Amino acid sequence: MAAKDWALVAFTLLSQMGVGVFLVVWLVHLLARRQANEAEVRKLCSGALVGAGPIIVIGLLASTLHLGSPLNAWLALSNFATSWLSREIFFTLAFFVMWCVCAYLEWRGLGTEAGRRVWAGLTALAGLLLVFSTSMAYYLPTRPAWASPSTPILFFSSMLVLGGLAAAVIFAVYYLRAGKESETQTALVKLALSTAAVVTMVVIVIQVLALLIQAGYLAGGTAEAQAAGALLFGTNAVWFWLRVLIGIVAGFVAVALIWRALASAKGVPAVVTNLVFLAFVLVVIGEILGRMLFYLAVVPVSPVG
Amino acid sequence: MAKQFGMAIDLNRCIGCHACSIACKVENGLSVGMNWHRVETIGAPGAKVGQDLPRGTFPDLSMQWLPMPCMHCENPPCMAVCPVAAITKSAEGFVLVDQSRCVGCKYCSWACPYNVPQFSAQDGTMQKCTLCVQRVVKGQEPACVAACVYGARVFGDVHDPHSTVSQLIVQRHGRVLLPEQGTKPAIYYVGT
Repeated sequence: MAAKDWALVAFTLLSQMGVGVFLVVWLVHLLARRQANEAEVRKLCSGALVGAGPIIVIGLLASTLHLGSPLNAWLALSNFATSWLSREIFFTLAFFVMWCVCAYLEWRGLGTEAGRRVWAGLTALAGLLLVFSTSMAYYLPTRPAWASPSTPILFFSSMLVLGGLAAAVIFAVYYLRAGKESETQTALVKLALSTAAVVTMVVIVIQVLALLIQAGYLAGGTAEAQAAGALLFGTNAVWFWLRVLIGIVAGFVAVALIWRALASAKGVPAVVTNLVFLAFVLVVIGEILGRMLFYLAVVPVSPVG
Repeated sequence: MAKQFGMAIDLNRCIGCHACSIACKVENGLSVGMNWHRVETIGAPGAKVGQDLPRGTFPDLSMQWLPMPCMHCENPPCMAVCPVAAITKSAEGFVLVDQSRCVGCKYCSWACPYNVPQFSAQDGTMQKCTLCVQRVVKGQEPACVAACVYGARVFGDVHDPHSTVSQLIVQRHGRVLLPEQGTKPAIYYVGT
């Protein structure tokens, strides 16, 4: 894999993580409001909400390292009508700008709560369109291994698994620094971590199904798809199985332990925060390996045969 | 119907001398490693790039060449995917890259089924065959056509049914590469 392609690994993973953090925080916000007042929920969620934006910015900056003439990047919205890459950049910027407004409204408590909730929903929609645009940008008829249903499933699952655990890390840090001080906040952190754990476990199961779909698709596909399958499961088998063992098996076990520890204890046991950090590291390693394989195991159509 | 410059390449006449590729490099002043026109060898499966190895077993050996300029497609996927709209299609059918707009993201090369656009590390932009538009506007043929010693190439308007190239395509059942991609190339191949 060329050095510059790592910029694409960074951009796709970070943009998906940023959107995922926002979605999980939004979900936690909705659930937490059922058991606490607005001020308490804002205290819990504001830090995690702020986390989504810088992740996107770092991803966007990383993406420019892939470009041969980054000074022309300002023209990237010129072909919105037909280019999924243009749309991807558009929704990245739209998500970032909407997130800025969202974070400002939440920070200053401006507008009504219902209004802020609607704005957050629209921001989440922009984020989902960003991840969808990224999926479609890779859905190229010239690259049969990418033009499969597993590509959008892979990208959306990365969004939730990375976002869920990144949000969990922010909640855990908040708990260690300030959340412990009140019973209400402890209960809300517990709810937030449980929500992130459940989302992540479900998504990891979906990732296993996506891998099975991908394996079936590559095995029964065109000659290029089969060649890509040989690259994925043959030439790069070591990386593939490391990705499965670290990101999926170990990641799932760590998240399941978080969920179990939270379900069986009254508050937030000390072991949970450590497990959150561990699960995040495992899943990030797994996702980096998975995305590296995404770019490595692809064979373009060839007129020569 | 709008003009569409293109060409027919007779595979029976091509002997893989690469004169077309060299003429292209000279005409367009290409740097080392940059090839807007390449000649693929259809030979032994698994042969490395640049290896001219025949397919079959001795004495039943065969080897063929596939000259590959830009196809100047009617539906160029490179143009559709370019985020900065740097790729355009002219009224004469030339698919051209505007170097001043190109961001060098390489996405056009991913979308092209013929692997035509190439990244120039020197300029940080994508480059490709222009069908020697600078010669054609002066009434000359592209450099690869003019250089072909064996007369394997006929250049002209493939949309004009009376042009030599169109008649050759009809008479000799010209075919395009990867028609299933829906790109409608303007480069046709005749012969086996």
